[in-house]
Amino acid sequence: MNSQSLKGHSELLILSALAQAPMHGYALSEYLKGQLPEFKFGVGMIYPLLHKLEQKKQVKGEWKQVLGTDRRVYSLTRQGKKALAAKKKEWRAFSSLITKLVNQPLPAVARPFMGLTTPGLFHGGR
Amino acid sequence: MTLNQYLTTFEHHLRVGEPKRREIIAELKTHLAEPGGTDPFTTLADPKQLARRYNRIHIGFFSSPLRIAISLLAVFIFLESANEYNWFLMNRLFYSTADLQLYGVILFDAFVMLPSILLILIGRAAARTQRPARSLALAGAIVFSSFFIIILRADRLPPPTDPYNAVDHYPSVLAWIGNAALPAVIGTILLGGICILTAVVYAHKHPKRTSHFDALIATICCILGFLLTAVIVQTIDVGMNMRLPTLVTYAPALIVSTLLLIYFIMRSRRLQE
Repeated sequence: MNSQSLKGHSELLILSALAQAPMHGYALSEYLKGQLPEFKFGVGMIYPLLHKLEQKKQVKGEWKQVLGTDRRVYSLTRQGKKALAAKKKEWRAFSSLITKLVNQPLPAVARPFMGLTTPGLFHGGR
Repeated sequence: MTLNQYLTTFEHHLRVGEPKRREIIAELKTHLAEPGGTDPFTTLADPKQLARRYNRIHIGFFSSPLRIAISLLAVFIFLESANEYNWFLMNRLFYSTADLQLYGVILFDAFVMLPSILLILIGRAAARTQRPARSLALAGAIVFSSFFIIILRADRLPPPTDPYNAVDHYPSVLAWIGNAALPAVIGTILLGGICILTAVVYAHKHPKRTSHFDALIATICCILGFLLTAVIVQTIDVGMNMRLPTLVTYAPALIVSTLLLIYFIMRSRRLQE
């Protein structure tokens, strides 16, 4: 599968992951790799995105001691939770629309314009 | 690429200033120190590209000197083209100049407003960058602006011979320097000086100094607010009454500026608490 198709939804993925539990960048990257093994998730994308979300006040980063090392742990803010809910709603609407379009057979109304006379047969328009 | 090479390249291209810079580098180091990490280039992608992403997020649109140069160039080309066109129309025979005088007034105010807004935005972005890059960005912006304005004024230089073409030219080089080049350079340096002051005063380390920066930006916003309101009021006044505006017409500008200043001072005090 093409990892480019994930790029437009990176924020949704990160917010969803942080909704599970606060995480630092490395833990987040390992979590996403585990959840989405088909996609080669660019770790170089995660940290700048976390900073971008922090600027938007959707996540909050704090330095904490984790397993003996100082790490910057990110957690979802109230604004982040709202943003996540909105993005999930948007995604559901988008994915159901695409699924409908992909699975829908060509409606009878459109057939004459496509040069089709018999349902299910293609006569090439002549 | 070794870890040290990666971090050196990354730090070289990272233009974000302190204390964010320290945080970004520390966070990256902890990631690269994790067990199981192979080549940092493979783990985290190209250090130059990664640094540019951080620059874009933390500094903003003016994170690149090229963008600063292009923005300045675009603004000055626009203003100079409008000015030249206005000058051309005013010098045409049998053409009414009443409307053009109004456009001239608006154009003059735009000449003050647009570059000053742009230079202040550049100054503010430069305040978030690392110190050497900050100075270079500001100095470069001012030098470039001054140079460009002087070049555009060069068409008014006195011609060596041919008195028939001397109508639109200054009588001597000294006159050109005094009336065209020097005012343009002084104006640019003054506006650029506001940006330098903005960047120098700004400090990330202490919240109190951060609020002083807010107050400085507030003062600058007031000056701009005053100018902007004066432009609108002056335009309406001259357009409707064909007369010069009086002190009363500047009252709304003064009121808006004062309200802005009060708001920002109160906000600064809240930040200090």
